[in-house]
Amino acid sequence: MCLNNNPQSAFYDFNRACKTNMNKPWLTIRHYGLLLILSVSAITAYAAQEAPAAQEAPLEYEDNDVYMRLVIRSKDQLSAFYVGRGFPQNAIDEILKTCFITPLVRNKTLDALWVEPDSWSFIGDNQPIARIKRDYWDKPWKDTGLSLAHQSTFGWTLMPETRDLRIDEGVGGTIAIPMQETPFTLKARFNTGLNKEGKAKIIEFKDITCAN
Amino acid sequence: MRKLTANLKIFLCMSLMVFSATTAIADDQLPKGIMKLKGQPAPPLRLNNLDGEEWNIEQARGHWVFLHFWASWCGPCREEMPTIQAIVPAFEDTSLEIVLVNTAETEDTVFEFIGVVAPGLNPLVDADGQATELWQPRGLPATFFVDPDGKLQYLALGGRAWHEPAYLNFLKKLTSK
Repeated sequence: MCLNNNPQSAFYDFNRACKTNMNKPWLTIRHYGLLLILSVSAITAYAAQEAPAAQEAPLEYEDNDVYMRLVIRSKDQLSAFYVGRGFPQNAIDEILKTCFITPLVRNKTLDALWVEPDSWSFIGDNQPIARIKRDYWDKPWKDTGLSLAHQSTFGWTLMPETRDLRIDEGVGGTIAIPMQETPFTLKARFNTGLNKEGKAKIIEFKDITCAN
Repeated sequence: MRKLTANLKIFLCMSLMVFSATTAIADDQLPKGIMKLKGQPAPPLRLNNLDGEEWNIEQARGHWVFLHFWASWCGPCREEMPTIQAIVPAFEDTSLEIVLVNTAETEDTVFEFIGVVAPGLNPLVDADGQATELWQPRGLPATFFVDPDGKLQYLALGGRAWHEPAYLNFLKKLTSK
């Protein structure tokens, strides 16, 4: 995992990949046998565990106007991100009580594309699911005594409440909803045009599951 | 007399055109990801750098400021930072001041990150993140361009490859004013 380009980040670069120094041949041929044995052992051990925590199927949509992807991180991955940023455990526990999804959106139109999570709907068991908004976090952070710096960092990892994406601009960030035991649907509505005068666009993702 | 008035009008029109051309860069000449702002006054900013030296935006009047907000946990920031370091020598003796603001991280984290990624830079540290909250960039990384009168003129969206010709030309146009 490349923590410094973690899609959990609000500012994840879609096209970026972790880079390693490939100039030096740090493995010789005799290492490969050992590596193969270790890999097979690791895969076998992993397969023997419970089902993978994070959603496996890519939740991705792309057309001429928009690219959108949903990233679901496991609790371990979420935890690792915030531990790595020095968050105290009681604050991380608060985060893990909710279901985090990370939408990544890029505007491919030649006009503005509005990202407004308030106009997105989450539906589970034919019932609407209320999104956990930014101000929800004020109380848990007060109760846990989370520092202003960590509150600020957390805020920057959340999806903005409104963003008029300009040509080729992208945005990413986390959206929290109450923990769901069953799969749910997201209908993401995007207004278009600088004054929202264009045709709205709706993208639907089904069978989304919260990370275990 | 009539001819003189007509010539004066032409001269004034031409002067106005030249003046307009030198005070603004046309939208269609802006490199990708640079957005024109409305020229609103820049919010206050007074922070210390890693050496404990204070920097106040009020002291930057009279020249352009390249004001860059970043955090070490943000992937695109990490990618962009070396490109900022690469352009610093080219603008050392110009009217462009390059200023970096780390958002909500400790001095240790900033020092560790900068030491590896761009050791020539000495960022300001917004330890509690409140200065960044005041500026409200559209995300991290983000770069504001503050004009010599202390007004916000441009915003760079996300990470940009500042060492590439399109961005270097943009910066040179700013400093040639």
